[in-house]
Amino acid sequence: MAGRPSQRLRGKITPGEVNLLPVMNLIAILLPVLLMSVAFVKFTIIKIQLPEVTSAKEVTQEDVSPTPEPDPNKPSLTVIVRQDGFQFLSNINPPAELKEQVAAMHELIELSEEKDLEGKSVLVDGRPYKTYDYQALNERLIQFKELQWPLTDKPETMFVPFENVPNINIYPMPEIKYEVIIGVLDAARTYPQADKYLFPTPILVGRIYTGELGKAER
Amino acid sequence: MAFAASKRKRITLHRRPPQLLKITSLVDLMTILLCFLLQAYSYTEFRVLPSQDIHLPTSINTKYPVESIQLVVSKSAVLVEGKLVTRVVSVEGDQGEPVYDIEEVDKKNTLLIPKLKAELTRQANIIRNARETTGRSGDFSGTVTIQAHDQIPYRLLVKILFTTGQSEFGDIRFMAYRRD
Repeated sequence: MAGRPSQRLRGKITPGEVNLLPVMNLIAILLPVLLMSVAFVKFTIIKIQLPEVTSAKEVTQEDVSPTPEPDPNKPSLTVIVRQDGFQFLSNINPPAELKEQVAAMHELIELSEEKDLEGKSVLVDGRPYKTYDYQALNERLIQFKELQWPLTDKPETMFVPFENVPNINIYPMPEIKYEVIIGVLDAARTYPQADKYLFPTPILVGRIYTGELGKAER
Repeated sequence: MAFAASKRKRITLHRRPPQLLKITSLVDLMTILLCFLLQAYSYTEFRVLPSQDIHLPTSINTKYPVESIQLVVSKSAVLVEGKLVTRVVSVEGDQGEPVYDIEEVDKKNTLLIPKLKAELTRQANIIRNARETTGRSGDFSGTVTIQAHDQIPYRLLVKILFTTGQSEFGDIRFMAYRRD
């Protein structure tokens, strides 16, 4: 003999509604708390490095240059932020066949004209509006980072001068605005091809060395 | 034959049973809202002073701010931990644009701002004393976060950096709006 159908099958017990009121109470309390602490604007920090001398003890302007004297054995690269663009200085000494390419890498990156959505130049007071080309700066710094040539005594080994160099000197001219400096710092650190920083700790300098090493130029 | 139902009974018989309020869709909405708010939830250990005189630049960097001394350089003043230290003056540039600088600098060393150095040294002593009192381990890190107006020239900024470096604060961080 077949078993007696259950009460549920006979339709005596109907599935009840889930009581959502406690959940609603909880959400009603959580919502204002979270709304109070929500961050619509997010902040970030950029760690910068100063030349060693500025964190030393009492010094005067006369007896100190804020830029440490570069070691001629270590590759160094300086980006001068001028009002007309970015200029590059380095102490690398490439072989003769690369001299032309390296010289081209030191050429000034001029300001670029701002374009609108249709590709036309944006005009301000009848003149094209020009801004700093951070993209070009980043690409140029990547070129420096990836520059390599074979060693003279071991031609099978490639010498990559900036491979393990963590910092570059950034020298903004006195009239350069803070927002441009932040843009340059971003460009100096971004390395899209690799999952790491390009030059992790850029150094902001006040004076630079040009030409002969050891001679400071303000 | 049965009697006709009373008026009250007729009304009761025809009345619809009370409907339960359907809140399932409302709960769905609240859950989505809750997830969004939890994602945007932020607990910050630092203070940002909202002011018309300061507009931070934007950066693609993703590091979060940390607890440190807050140094604000606005269009009109330099503040350390919300306390006014010195004034920023504005003069008209060659093309009519405002150029910001600090008047009160050291006579011998034009990069040094004496009032800022005094205040930062005071703050360093406060932190050091607090660490000794509470017995917290670790040395004084000398971390300072600079919130500067995006139009401040490097001429002014280098004075701030130099003075900060001279006042035991060697770990300097710039604060900016994060651009995703």
